[in-house]
Amino acid sequence: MRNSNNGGGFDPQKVWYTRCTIDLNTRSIHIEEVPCGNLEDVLGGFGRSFQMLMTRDVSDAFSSNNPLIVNTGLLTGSNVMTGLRTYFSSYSPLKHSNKGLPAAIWSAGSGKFGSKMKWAGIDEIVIEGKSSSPVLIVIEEQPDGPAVALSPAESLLGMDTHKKILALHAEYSDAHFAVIGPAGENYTGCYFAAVAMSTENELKSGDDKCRFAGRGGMGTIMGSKNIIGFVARSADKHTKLAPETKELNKKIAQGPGSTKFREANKGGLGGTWSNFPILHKTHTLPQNNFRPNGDDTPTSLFRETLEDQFVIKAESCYRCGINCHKNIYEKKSDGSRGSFRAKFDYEPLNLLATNLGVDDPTTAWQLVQRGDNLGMDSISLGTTIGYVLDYNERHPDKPIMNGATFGDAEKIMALVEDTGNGQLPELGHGVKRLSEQCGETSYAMHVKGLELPAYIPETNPGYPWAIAGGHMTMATFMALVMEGDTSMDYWVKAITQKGLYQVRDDLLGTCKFGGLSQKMAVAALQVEGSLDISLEEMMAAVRRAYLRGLAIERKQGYEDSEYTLPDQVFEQPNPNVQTESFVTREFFAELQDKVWAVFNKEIEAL
Amino acid sequence: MSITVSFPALFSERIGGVESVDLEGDTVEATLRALTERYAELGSLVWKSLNLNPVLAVFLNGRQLKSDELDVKVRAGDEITILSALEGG
Repeated sequence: MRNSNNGGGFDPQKVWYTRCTIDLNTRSIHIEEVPCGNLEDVLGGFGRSFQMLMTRDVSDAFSSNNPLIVNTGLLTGSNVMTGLRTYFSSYSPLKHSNKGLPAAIWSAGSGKFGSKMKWAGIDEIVIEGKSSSPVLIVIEEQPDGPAVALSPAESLLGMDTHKKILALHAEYSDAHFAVIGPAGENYTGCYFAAVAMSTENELKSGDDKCRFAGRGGMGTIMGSKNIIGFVARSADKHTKLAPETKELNKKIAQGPGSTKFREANKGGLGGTWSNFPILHKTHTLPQNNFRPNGDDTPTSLFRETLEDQFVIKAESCYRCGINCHKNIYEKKSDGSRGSFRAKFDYEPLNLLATNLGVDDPTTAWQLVQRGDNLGMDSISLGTTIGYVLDYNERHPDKPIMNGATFGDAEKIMALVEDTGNGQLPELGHGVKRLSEQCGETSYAMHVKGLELPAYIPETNPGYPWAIAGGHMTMATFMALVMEGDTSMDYWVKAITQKGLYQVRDDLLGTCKFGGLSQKMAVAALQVEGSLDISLEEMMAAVRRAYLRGLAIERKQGYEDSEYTLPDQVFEQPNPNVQTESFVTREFFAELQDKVWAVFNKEIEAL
Repeated sequence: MSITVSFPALFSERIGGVESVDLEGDTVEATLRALTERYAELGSLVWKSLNLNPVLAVFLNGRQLKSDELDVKVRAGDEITILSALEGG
């Protein structure tokens, strides 16, 4: 980024970012500086990429005119702790309207790839067309500026995500990587393939510790374009730490915003995993396809239960004091740490274990790890498998696929394996399509074609207004359990005045686990981004970016009736759930009217 | 004696952006009661059926308290931090 504002106000058009456009059909590569048109362009992430997607008419996610946009946020690669995000944006093969049109989506991940890309001199890559053979996109810092090249990638085919990263690491020094696994290579059979990004810890230890941009099938889009991976090679570029940044980083590492994700010995609560006991208290922890049954089987996967069986170590992506990764290692007979097993986050652990009726910790880590190795989004994978098991429980006389039911670990693993290898497209195309094929949609846990994360829909009528993932792009998923407010006024405000700002970090380049307050975010932009902007200006830019997301959904044919929850929520309230049952059809219809009354006017004014 | 109580943004939003407050109390629980007496808007967030909201975590001088430790004595200068124990990921 180049900023020529010199005091006296801030003009986005005096900021330029460096964009590389690659046409895979012609193999042409063009690097240019592009002036920003507005503050969203400056901040980056989906705030910029969705403006480009808005201009495209895409009716098929695999068509040549659907670009893949890989970019960073303004704070990616900066000195701000957690400033490590990379964003992948495109029209999704998975999320689609009832008219069959693909929805635009972005997916974010940490690791060190984004920082290296920025340090190499590239802020954004736009990839058009499709390569006739498997390629790597190699971004390198050169004395006269950034260079981007295509390199053959046949030798990487068939390797899992981690093996690809290690193979690239052996070839490219001082570089980081973003790759697909077998699921992305077999993209026609798996629409929720993820992108794996390398971490410093992974390259140093050789253990499988990548981070994922999982949602919406961005790995599938890479596969469809025959892109096997990206290499970003550059020296690390850290400027001298400003006193304000030092203070800011201290707040991020030690302050209340990241408490949840830190270890107990650092004043924390031990990671997202600690949602298990909290949600279980009210039986709102998903079990058996989002249908908590009121028993205590989830306790077998509580962290405190597993501490006897495994060594649990908190680790990080890169220069991050939060250490949110909760890595599970074998515990040797003398209690010492053995081999790495898996990383336990709340979503994968719940959706690939508890929600599938699996309560054995060893089976749980094997399922989580296999899904990661094959390069799939654990949320979409787990939620779609949950539907298969539910269907088979309901239809023992005419089961689908391999007949797996809840708790059948061996068959569940076979479903994971086959889906990741592209051999089970019925499952790999996601739960919306599968449930429509089966003719039973009421217990298919998705909204707008994107599978739900691990929070039951009965507790979150805000889900339909999330754009790129139920919990990461609309912060209403914990509201009922936290506040217990079921009034209409509360929920309209929760969605239209608070929840949508969850997407702020998806422009800035920071991680949500950093828990930056809005004031801290503005301070970071001022100090590390050299932006003379106010909190109000930042918030307005975030709001416009969110609204553009809704506007693209409308453009892609989404109708009001698609902004809803699975029918089971309305038709069969779960008596085991110990929060107030309030999401009736009447409540929801009124909520829709009131939320759209707010958003429609703003969308028209964009 | 004055105890400093700080809390998450969720609380601050309800009481005009105040991020922490100094209160009197001889135990953690008494101090939290004093908080919700001063700011009735926070009552439903802090208490559920007279007990601490189970999704909150309470720290005293950086140490997390268990739910049965709210009767711990406090002294002037102590710091109580209330946090949401539920976050996504």
